Amino acid sequence: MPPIKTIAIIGAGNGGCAAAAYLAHRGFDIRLYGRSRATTEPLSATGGIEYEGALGDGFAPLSLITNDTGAAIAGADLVLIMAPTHAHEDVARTIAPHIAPRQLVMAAPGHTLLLIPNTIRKGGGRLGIYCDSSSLPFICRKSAPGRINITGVAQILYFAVFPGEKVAAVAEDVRQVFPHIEPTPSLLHTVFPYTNAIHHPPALLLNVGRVESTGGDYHHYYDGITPSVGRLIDALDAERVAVAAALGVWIEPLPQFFFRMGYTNAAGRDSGTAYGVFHNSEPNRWIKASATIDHRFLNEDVPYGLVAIAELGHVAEVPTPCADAVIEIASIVAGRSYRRDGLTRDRMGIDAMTVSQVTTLLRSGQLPGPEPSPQDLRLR
Amino acid sequence: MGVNSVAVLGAGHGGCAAAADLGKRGYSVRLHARNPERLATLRAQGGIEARGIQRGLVPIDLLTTDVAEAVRGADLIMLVVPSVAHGHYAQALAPLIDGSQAIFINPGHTGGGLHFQHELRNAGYRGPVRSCETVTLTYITRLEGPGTVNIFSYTKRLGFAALPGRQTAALFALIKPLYAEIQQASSVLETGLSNLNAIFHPEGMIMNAGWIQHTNGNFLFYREGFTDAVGRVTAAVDAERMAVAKALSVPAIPFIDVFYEAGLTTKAARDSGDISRACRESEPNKTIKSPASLDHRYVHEDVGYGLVPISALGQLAGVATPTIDALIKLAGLAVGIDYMRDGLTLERLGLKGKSPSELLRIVEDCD
Repeated sequence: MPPIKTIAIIGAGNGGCAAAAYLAHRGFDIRLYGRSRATTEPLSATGGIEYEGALGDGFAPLSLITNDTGAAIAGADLVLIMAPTHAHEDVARTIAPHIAPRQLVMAAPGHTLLLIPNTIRKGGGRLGIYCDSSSLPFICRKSAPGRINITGVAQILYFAVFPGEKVAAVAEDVRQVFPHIEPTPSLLHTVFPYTNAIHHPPALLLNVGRVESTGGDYHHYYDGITPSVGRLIDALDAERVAVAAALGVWIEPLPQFFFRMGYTNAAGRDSGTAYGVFHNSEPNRWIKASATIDHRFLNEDVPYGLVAIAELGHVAEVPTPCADAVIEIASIVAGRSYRRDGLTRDRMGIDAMTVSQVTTLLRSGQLPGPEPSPQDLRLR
Repeated sequence: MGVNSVAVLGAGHGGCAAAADLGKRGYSVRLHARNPERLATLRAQGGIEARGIQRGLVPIDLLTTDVAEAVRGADLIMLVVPSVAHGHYAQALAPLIDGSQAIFINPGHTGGGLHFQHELRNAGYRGPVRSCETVTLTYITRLEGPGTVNIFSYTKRLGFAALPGRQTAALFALIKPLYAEIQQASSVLETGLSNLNAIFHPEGMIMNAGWIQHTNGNFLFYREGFTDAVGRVTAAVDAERMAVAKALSVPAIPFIDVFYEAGLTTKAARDSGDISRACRESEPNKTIKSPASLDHRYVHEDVGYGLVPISALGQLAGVATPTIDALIKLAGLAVGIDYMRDGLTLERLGLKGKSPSELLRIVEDCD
């Protein structure tokens, strides 16, 4: 694959704008695609994006700001999807017709397994290599329509490639773009570090009355995560770790992971409990609760987080009763079936597969299909 | 033959209310407490100080920590203890009874009689049993000190049934003079499946768990705690309860109608069908604060002895109860108790492996 010079960023929200500023600042040729004019117009007016925060203050000119996916993607070396997980399916469908085999497609965050590659292929895209990261690479927020405040760049970014056996070569290319990536053997490895899935939903669900009655007038972590809420998070974390292990993925429990990310201190880590972790979390201390229950803490983190864990639990034959209970009650709270709308085995592209079939598929990229592979013929 | 002497087992809110009320009304009352300290104040002051519908110091004929002494010769044994204590009293009563005394489980919540009789059998008792029960306590009452009970009122229109069910008419005639508000129900399944506390208290607690723990319950439980989303979950729980009742051919009334008919909400709220609104517009409940802790009967009793047996009956009837089961799980995680193991399971109800037709026969005939 040629060195990455031109990058099409798909999505002009907080993450997309942060990526555009960060990568333009580092000398890449950036085209930024936004779905709505309202989002792109303030950027088009200046021809780029103002930034502040961890990169310093400045202005990053962009070579193209557009509402036309084809124009953004044509000739780009890397197509970088910067969209929340619940938008992945739509985004993949939109970009599918424009994808050429030589283009690397990356989602940051990804952690939606084969949802994007399968949707691109179903949409007629000639997809070559797909890769993803376990989280958004930035801590960022737009401070004005044309201005992004990047308060931090993620120091740990798990990275996976599909097919997994190509990870070494692809990681070398992507390191030019995101130096902090930590390559892992397969897309399963970027699914499980998504810790928002295990702490956002219970923290909201066990405070539903308070959010609705007070408009979220309390501190989400510090006040909201009480010992009982913490116990539920611990139970969900244990299920996450168990399902991952059964699929051959080793992940750190929440306290260790949060300590390594700098989200809690040694006392928080050593408590071994979510309650201890969040009560020793200085960066999270003053974060306000959501003003409404119609919030990504449920709308994204249940269907694209807990549902994925529960569904992978099915594959691995590991029961996930706590995740199932949260999904059930959260669905009634929201008035929609998060399980139906979420990352089912079907959406993840692993329906009716065994653990070894999933592992093989993710490593080799070979999709089991009606056509027997040469290896199958040989076995016959 | 009517009731003259009553053995009241349990000296908490309900037991003290029953002892004071019945004592004042001329019944011979023996009051049993497991803990002697419970009785010390009553001994010292010479009875129970009553407020509300009864007033003044009511002397009690016998205060004892000995169950045998309390029940010997009593016309009626009234069990007025939390459901968790039913097993203990079954153990104590097994060697003392012969089937001649009626046993009133006040209250039996969901499956109290089935559980109590199963525990009696486990304790080796083989004779006949005549128990009867109401779903909730016959009083609205509160202890206001170690020797003072405020009896606000009798609980209105309270369903009543016996186990075995064929005894309901006879036991109803026996208990009615004590509690004029009781009404005959078709069976203990009907009273048990009308356990409204179990239908809405757990949601109020669990979906406000963080709020309760962070502020020690410093909010209005019904007015502020029962928001739209909490109401939606309550509606889902109620629909599952109704489905279980229907599958067992047990009459059941929707939560919101019972709530309205009990005088607990407005007609407009009832007509809207909105449980959240019904709770928010509950005049009698409008100033009631939240429990200060999750370590409370709204969880322990209403989950372990309410939602768990409703789920168990659903399992027996082949009716899925996913919302109820999920709440049981979350409640258990919140307080660190495995309610699906420790609550009133099919096994503790003596119903393990039974079919719906066997259940109905047990409820009617106890065999």
